[in-house]
Amino acid sequence: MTKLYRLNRKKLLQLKLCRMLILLPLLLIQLNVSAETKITHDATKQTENHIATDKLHFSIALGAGVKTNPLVGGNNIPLFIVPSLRFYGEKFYFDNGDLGYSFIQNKQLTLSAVSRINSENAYFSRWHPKNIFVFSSSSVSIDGNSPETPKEININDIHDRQWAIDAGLQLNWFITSVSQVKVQLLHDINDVYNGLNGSVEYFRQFSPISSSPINVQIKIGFDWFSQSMVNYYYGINNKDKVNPTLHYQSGSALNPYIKLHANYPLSKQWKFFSAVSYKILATNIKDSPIVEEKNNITAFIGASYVF
Amino acid sequence: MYSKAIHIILTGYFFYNTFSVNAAEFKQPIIHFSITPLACIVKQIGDECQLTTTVDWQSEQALDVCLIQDKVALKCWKNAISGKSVLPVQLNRTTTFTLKNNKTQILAKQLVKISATTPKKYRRKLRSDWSLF
Repeated sequence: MTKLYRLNRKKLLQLKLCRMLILLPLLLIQLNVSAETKITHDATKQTENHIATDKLHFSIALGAGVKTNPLVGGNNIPLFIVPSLRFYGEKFYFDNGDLGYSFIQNKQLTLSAVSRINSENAYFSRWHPKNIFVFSSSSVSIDGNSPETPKEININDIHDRQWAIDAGLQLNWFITSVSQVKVQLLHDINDVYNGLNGSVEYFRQFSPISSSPINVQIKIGFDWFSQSMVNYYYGINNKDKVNPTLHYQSGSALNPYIKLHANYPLSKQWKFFSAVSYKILATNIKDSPIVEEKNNITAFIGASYVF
Repeated sequence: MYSKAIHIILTGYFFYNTFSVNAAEFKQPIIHFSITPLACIVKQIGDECQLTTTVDWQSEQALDVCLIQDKVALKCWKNAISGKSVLPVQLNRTTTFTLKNNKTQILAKQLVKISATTPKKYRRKLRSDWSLF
């Protein structure tokens, strides 16, 4: 009953977030009608995708938002204050958790060695589930159908997931001054899941209304997790003290996503800011007994301030 | 009858207040304020600039004023109608110098700009803004 209530609340939240996804661009266009700004759009475009080197760039986003947690009993991650910290040297850079060194840089391509903390464990750090009921079809009834007898997994028997540190290569292909493709391939370096993960992302920035400083960024791409990463975070295996009939092992996972960010300058330092993202979880992840959602949604609305 | 009288008094008070506030806003006792030089050249933005500035001000009436840089009083004058001083100052960004009275009202202000001989270097961002979302 409690789980049913929790599920309904989660579905309701997702429905609200989907509504926000539709309403946010409309809200921004509405805002544009009444406001004025002196920033020229070409100048904005040129500088938005470039960053001054040898300078610490610190911003903060204040507002309200949430990142849903797909785990059974996982608490959604609230977003109220989100900092952004960046420092770019001539070759070295730190960009919101990514520590990198760009050893090839030209007008169209940058190839960097990059390292960062794998964010997948964030869901598990906000995981306070009750015991999980697994519909096991390991035994077969007389009529040949699976009886789907629910079996309980004691959550205390499941091993703690660890934070992994990934390192690898990142290729940025700058197609135009306002669009790029980013490809990443990383491997964990602290012996956590012993596997790979990667991503491919297309990024495009544009102004939907030519006479307006409104700025929209769209990102379409996918994350890829190797089999060993999927099984470490979402599998149930010998590391877990669970009846072997309840083990869950799967293959690699491809999670496609779309992200939409919009901002509107209110002053030199303040911007109205909103973000929505929708990620579809791969079958190999959503079929895990510890996962109850098919997707992952992030939504935020507020303002950003540049220090 | 009483309410009409109260209404007239309140309206009169409102107009008096509005008029007196506006009068105070527009009555600037400072007739001249300058700080030179108006700019400082550094090698790179962020570098500190050390300047010897000449501050000069004049007023129609005797004033207690202070020259302020970033909330710090550099020099104060008591009951003076003019002031002139040569002061060493340090800047690491474009800064506004203000002349404030003892009620901390800004009576005059002057911007001193910092410019760099080495232009800023830029490179392409490798992660988009707010990629944490």
